[in-house]
Amino acid sequence: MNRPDDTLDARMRQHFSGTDTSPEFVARLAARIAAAAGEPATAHRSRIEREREELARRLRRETWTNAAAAAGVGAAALAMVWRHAPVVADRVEGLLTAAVDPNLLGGVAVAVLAAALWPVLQRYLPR
Amino acid sequence: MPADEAIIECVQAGRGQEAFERLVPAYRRRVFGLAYSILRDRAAAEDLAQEVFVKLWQALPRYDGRAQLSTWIYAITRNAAVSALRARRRSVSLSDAAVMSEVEALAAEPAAEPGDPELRRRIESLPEKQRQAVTLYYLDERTVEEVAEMMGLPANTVKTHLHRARASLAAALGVAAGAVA
Repeated sequence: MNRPDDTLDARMRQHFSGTDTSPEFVARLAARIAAAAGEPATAHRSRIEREREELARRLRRETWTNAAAAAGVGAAALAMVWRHAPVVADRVEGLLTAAVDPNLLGGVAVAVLAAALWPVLQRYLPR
Repeated sequence: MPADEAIIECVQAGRGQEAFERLVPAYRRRVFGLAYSILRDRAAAEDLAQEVFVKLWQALPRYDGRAQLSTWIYAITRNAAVSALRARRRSVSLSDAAVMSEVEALAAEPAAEPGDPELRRRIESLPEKQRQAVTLYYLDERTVEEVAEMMGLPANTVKTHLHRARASLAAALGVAAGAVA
């Protein structure tokens, strides 16, 4: 005959009675949650910062490249017009009824150059 | 369950932090118990319960109420536990004699887990579903219906698993089996 304490239920209950999470379970969980909450924000911030720096570098590079190209083209155009003004004038004269003034062409070339350089100049002009 | 209703109310009102603060005490034992019934290792079950709660914290704002909260939490826990179990089995090569002997030595260690060593051995030798059912049933004195929900099985199936498990254990231990409530 089995004593009441020998029943399976009693033994099973006793066996599982101490089976629980450790006392620091909630504290550990809170730390993990805090880490999980912090990590993406930090990672996101640093990614945004990296992208911003990269974009600024690219824009600076492109600005200088564009400015140099525009200055080169403008200078070449100015030199061409200056040097071959009579020839250009003769050629254009054939096409246009009005006489072309080399000074006017030079002015146009300077205006084109200034327009090309305008974005760069804007950065350095006082506001 | 009233706790579930309060948690769902908080989620729907956008009070995610409060919802989570209510969820942890309400489900700590159940998530841990379910993980323990599958993994059979207290430390591993506790680590898994931590992971499950982190997942729940991330997913709770997206909980849409289509499934019962408890069913949803148990499904997440079961999936995580089964994945952990598979990963553990993959990492222990059965052909590695040195590892196996170490595992056997650890399993034979009497102080490794608290409780009745003989009973633990008998429970370990039960088929998986019977072992899970009996663990969940006695761990927190749950009802058959609660165990069924936790295991994702019909109540009658769980009743059968419990009946067979208790009969096997009672016969092996030479004690009275009693009846499943």
